[in-house]
Amino acid sequence: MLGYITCEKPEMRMRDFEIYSGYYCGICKSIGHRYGQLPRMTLSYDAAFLAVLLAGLEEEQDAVKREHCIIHHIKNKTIVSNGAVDYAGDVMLILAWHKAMDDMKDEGKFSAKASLLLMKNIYKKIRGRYPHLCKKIEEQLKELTLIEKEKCPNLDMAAESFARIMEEIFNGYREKNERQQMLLRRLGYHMGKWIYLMDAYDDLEKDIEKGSYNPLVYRYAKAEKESPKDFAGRIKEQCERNLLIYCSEMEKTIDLLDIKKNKGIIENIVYMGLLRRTEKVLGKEEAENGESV
Amino acid sequence: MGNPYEILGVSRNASEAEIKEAYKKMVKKYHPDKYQDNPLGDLAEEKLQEINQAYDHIMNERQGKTGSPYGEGNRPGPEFMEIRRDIDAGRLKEAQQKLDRIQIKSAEWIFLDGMISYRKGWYDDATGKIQQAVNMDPNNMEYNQALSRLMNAGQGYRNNAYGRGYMSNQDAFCTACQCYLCADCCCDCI
Repeated sequence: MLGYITCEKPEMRMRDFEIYSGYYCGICKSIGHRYGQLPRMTLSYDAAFLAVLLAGLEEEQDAVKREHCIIHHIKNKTIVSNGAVDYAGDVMLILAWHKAMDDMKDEGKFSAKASLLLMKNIYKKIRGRYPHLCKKIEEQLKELTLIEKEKCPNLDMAAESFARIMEEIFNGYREKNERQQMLLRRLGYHMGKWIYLMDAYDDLEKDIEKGSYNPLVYRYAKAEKESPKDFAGRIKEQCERNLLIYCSEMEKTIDLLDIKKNKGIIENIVYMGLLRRTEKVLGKEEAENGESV
Repeated sequence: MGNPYEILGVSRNASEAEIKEAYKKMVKKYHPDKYQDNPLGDLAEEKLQEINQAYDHIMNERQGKTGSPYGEGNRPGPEFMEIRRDIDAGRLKEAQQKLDRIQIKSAEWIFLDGMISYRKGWYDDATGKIQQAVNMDPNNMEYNQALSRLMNAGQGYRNNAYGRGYMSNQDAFCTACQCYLCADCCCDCI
């Protein structure tokens, strides 16, 4: 995941924000305790949302304490710890492992090789704990590689693998009743599609320059003469429509889920944070034009 | 299945036109639109299924083919009714298989193909297909409604956000907010 899932800070209550940050720090600490210091670098706020949501469906109270932190060493931070926090940390590491593998295959980056060596044993350990989840993710990533090789022009087909991965991640924490499970899967699926399209639009110009596969180039048939910027402008409205459909479906699942705690945080992120991020990514070229004048 | 002629209420010697007429009447009588949100909907659906099977059976028997009693018009044929029921019930694989068996890609075919995509969460794909169905049959209300629902789906989400206090970037106050946030990021380091 790529750090697209963030809160709308001006509209968040301060105590919610404290807890939200506590989840973020909690995941960082959880990874640190269990796997050592270095893998902590892979953390993003996406993981915090996952933990906040999954913990929010459980009755049990979170363990909250204030602790010292190596990165923010000036003051103590609120740390939340629970099963969902550990799970979100593990999920981050699974994805980081696959990302490092991918980077190495693509470019043979030295940094990727180094982190692979570092993470090999950690991944083995995590895979032992979540064999089903890891297997599903591996399968879908294989699919994704094929789709990219074929230069698939169907946006939904291209996004499907990543959406399925997210579906499994949201589904993989603890057994719930059928209704909750269905809603969680649906939320994950649509979040996956949203992230995939956000990333595709965000990276559009970079991908065109580098000649990497980007589904939007094929979906909207970029003309040879068209500049990346013009192309991004031309397809903006269609991308926006798709992105907002995903958001609207996520909103519906959140409204139906039986949320026991963290409701303010979850709603802030889904109701507003996603919209802010969507508008930011879509408005990018405008903002850049404005600044360059 | 009982006697298909009895189900349709026609004699064994009825002409093809008579059978079609009787079938149309029965479909109208038990049409799902009439039973929308009605607790008797399931029973009406069962009945309709029986009628469809009976009609298919007689037509197959007589000519060895299944055809829509509505001819080449825009009304959905019985084979499409069954696919619609599958889609409504979320049996998407079955619906797709049945659809793939039909050779002629009419507007209805493309519309239902689009509706399957919609149910799968393939909204981009669905929009293209339903747009195509609308182009082929521009006066069909149902296709038009489905298309505009898809085109406007995200608007409701955005409106809700504004109702909940979300402010757009153009807002002067918000620009101030963002300046504050930038400063906040430096000092408070979330």
